[in-house]
Amino acid sequence: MKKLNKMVSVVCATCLLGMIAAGCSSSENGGNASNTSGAKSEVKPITYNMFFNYGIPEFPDNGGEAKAKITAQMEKAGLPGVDYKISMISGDEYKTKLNLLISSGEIPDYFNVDTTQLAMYVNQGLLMPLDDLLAKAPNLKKYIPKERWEGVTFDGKIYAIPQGVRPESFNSPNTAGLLIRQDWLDNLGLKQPTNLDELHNVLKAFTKDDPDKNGQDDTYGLGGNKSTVFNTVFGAFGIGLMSGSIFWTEKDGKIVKSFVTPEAKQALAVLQQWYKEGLIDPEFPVMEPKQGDARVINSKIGVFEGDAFGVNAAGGGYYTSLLKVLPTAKLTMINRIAGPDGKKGWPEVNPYSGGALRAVSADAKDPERLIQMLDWSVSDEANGGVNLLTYGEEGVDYTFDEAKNLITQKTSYSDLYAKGFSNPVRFVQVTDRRWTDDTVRAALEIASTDIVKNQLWKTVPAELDYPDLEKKLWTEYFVKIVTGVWAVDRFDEFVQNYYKQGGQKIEQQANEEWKKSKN
Amino acid sequence: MIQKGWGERTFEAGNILFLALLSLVTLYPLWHEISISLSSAAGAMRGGLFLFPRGFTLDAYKSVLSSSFIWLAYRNSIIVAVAGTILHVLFTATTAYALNKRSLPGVKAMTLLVLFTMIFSGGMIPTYLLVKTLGLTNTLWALMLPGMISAFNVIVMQSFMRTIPDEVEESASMDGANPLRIFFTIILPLCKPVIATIALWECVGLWNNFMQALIYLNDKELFTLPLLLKEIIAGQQLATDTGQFTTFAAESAIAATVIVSIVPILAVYPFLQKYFMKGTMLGSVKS
Repeated sequence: MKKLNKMVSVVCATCLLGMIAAGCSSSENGGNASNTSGAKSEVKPITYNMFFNYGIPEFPDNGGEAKAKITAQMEKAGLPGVDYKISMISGDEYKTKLNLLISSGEIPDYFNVDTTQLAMYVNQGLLMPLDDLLAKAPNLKKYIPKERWEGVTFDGKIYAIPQGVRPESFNSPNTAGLLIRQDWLDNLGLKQPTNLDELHNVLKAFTKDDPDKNGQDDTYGLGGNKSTVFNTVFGAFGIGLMSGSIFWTEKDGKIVKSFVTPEAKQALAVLQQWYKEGLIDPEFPVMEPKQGDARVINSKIGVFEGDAFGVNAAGGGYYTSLLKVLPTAKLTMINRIAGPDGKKGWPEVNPYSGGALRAVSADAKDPERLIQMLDWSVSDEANGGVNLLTYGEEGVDYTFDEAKNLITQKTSYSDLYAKGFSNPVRFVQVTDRRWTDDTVRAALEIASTDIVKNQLWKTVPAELDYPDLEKKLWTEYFVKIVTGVWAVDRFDEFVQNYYKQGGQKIEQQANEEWKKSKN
Repeated sequence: MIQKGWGERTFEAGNILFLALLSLVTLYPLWHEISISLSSAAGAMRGGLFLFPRGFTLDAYKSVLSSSFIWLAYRNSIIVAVAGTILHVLFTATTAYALNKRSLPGVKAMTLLVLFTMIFSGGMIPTYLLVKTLGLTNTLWALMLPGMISAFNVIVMQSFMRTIPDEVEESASMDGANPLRIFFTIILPLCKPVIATIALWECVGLWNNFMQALIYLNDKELFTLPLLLKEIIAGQQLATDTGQFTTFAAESAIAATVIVSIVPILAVYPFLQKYFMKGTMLGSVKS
């Protein structure tokens, strides 16, 4: 009896403790909610909880000094009483935490999802369909391309907000191209290569003729890392490949994977030839991207695949570091390289993939105003939010040259974050490169031309059944053929293996999908 | 004779060489990180192996230490590590002491319950729900209370306490000491080695605790060092990826944060290590 009494009292004490603690926390929440009011108008103030997949330690919890300016601007634009609270965690931990929040019933109002999460949450009914709400959001409709909306549509309903793109041509998602050391070309008296033969000569000169004039044979023509697929060479034969080898090419009224085409074999032959001549950095298949960048910074390679932003000397990337090591260096992006038949190109970036997707919880209160706020956040009109949210205060954090359509930033990103501006409060991301100077814009111009289209972006079920084909099988043959371990003719064996190990089924399903999309 | 001596000497030499190499291999990454944190942007990005900073500069440290969040995170980590360790040691000791008393009613059932937690745990989501309903989420208590008593440490503590002769306690109670006094003035001081061991384990564990901090903490004011470190690294990667306007090299900033966050533990370790060596051997041999 005594024992029982003791146990009962222990249990009671535990319960009490728990209740006290719970009581404390709920009163705390109440305090927060009342703090956020303050709008004078009759509209009920509302705070949207947002949860983003970002690592930005500088951003203050309370929204910083930017909060007042942002809410003031919203009020001017006819959106009084709207407030936001943003939490952020980056990477895989974001997913872990989001799942925890959802399963414990604390789902945020507006949050990041990736494509797999999106499909899952739509199935579970956790997300709000947005079609009706978006009807009243002209700016979102204007800046977000049609293909991207299609990518987030399930059973005819839109469930997420993809990233937008501003209309200027330099905002194209295609930003990759071939970068070259212009100062090396000048040292050797060479011109920028325009076709494969000229590129071959340049690479040879870069490798053998001591382009950096240091008296040592320590340079390679073409650089790369383990994710490099040498798009230039494949593009010169008219096909796109890309990492992951997802590209489909049209051939005789049907589509086939780019890597089984005869063009791929020709490209491999060229690469093997170059590798044998020692023009390609021999360690490329085992190098991490970072090590590849180190090769650029140390002036070991003269030509490599890169981003148009790579030519931005002040960008803080490899070019900035290269200039610190060697102030006379000059990096430019060259035009697409033409193949023997005059073909040229670069694989396109998936137009359906909307970058970072963000969804609205089915439980979100007053979703109309949330969407209005999102619409305001991308608006370029008077009192619109896009410049304030992205760049901070005009005259303080940036200046805008309207004639050149150029934004010059005066405040570094980490300071912008500390104030509470930029990426965390860009509620809908819209690609906006008005901050780029003429050099970068020229490179972006090159990078957005001669784009090889992928005939089918959809992943067919068979591709999920045979996941090793594209990654393992192709990568093995690609690396071994390029490095000359295997003869180019083993490519035929690859094609046979591919079809035998499931490629047949993939191709059949893909063609059905392709025909459907054509009609 | 000569041959044996020669063999022994080669073995010795080989041994020393091997161990020296081993310690070099473990030491180098740390040293490399220190060098990177002191290097200029260009130097850090050039990559490769190097021993001394390239283009010595303290910029990375300046920027890391000037952020107010690092000091907040420091404060939080210290609170969690110190308070958590004290709570852990105290309650582990009281549990172990009580469970060692055969005369305690229900001692077998209680021991079983404690051991049960060693084998079965609630899993992440139920544990989260429990912590949430207890109102501990978004407080530093969430990092200290759920793991306050660990079954394993209770067992280690128990087996040490068993080596203290019962006569010690008996004589104390003869002199009029009550159980509380016996525990605090006799048992605890005698348990110093095992307490130091458990405290060190727990302190390091709490200092490095990432998962719990990630799950339970939302407010930036409550972030602990591992969490902030992860955010800083992600932030630097974001800045490099987007090719945006930054003032110092990502590599150096990350390295400087790593160094800043491991210095306290590195400073504590040598002083507790002697107990550690003693403590881990405890209970392994019993007479």
